[in-house]
Amino acid sequence: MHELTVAENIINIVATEAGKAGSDRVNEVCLEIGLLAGIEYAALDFALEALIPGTVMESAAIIIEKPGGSGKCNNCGYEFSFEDFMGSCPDCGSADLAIVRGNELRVKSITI
Amino acid sequence: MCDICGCGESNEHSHDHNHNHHHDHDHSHDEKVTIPLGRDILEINNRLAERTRGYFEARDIYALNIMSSPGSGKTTFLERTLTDLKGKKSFYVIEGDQQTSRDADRISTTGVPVIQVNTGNACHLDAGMVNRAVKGLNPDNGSVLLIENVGNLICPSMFDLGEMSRIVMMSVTEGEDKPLKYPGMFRTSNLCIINKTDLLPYVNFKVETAVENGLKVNGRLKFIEVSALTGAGMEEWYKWLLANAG
Repeated sequence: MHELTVAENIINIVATEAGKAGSDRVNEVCLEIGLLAGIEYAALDFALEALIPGTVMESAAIIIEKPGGSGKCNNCGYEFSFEDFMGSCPDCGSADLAIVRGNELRVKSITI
Repeated sequence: MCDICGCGESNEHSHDHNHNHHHDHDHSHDEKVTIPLGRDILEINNRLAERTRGYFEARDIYALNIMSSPGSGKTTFLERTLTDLKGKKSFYVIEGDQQTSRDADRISTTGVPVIQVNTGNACHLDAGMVNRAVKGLNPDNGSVLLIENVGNLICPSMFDLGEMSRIVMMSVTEGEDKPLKYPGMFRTSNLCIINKTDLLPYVNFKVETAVENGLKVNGRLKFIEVSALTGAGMEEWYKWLLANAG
């Protein structure tokens, strides 16, 4: 349940940034959490729901963008869609792959 | 048009009588502002982990983050390692568990300095816990720090502790499909220890299948088969450890 830690961090970042902008209320929070970021979205929703009351995010709409995964073969450099950590390079067959996209774990923006 | 917000309501009007009155109209001027951030959600952990890693590098300390599910034999593996390598290298241990100091008590019988970190409700060690523990241990220059994480194959993989390498342990009583079920953990590890090989005659576990599955999620993963109980295979692990620790 590392989603609880992730939810706490999100609220802290939003509170800090809203404070810098002189606001104690946030209308919208946009998160970018990739499909390969190791986050269970339902568990994160649950954690946010539990922790948000009484914070700057109390009335905020939460938008989660979920970039899909893509990988690059460390052997031949081929780039391809990569959804679940499994498999091998479709071009050369190597299993030595690097994640290029899909492991994003960011607070993208807030709207106040 | 309103000069302030452009809302279309005029505060000027034409009329054919001659008197003064104010032309304010009453509405709120809420303007939503979107602030782009792009802030890493784990930035506090990751920054602290980098600081700890810098400290390790400056003092030539080799730190290992050892992870597995509960009951794979991490503590027995460490006990044997510390006993067998006594005098060859200076060791320190951080023990992570939700509660109790049982593991630290076991390690301390080897004479190696150890700190127990109880994570309470957290299912993983984080960089802050390790940073504080390292300050308490004050490891010697050139030493090896073994960090035994909380037994859990999911959450610990997300948290950089400042280590140089990650070890994931699986035992032959667990099933060869662990890497496929918990790819995040196996994907981020450098070495996989397959423990409890003394039980291979009694269980339906094929080492080749486990290795094959591990390589499916991480083509660079290395494997060493051991029995921490009997000591079989431990020499290969010691070679790996001493070669990496320099």
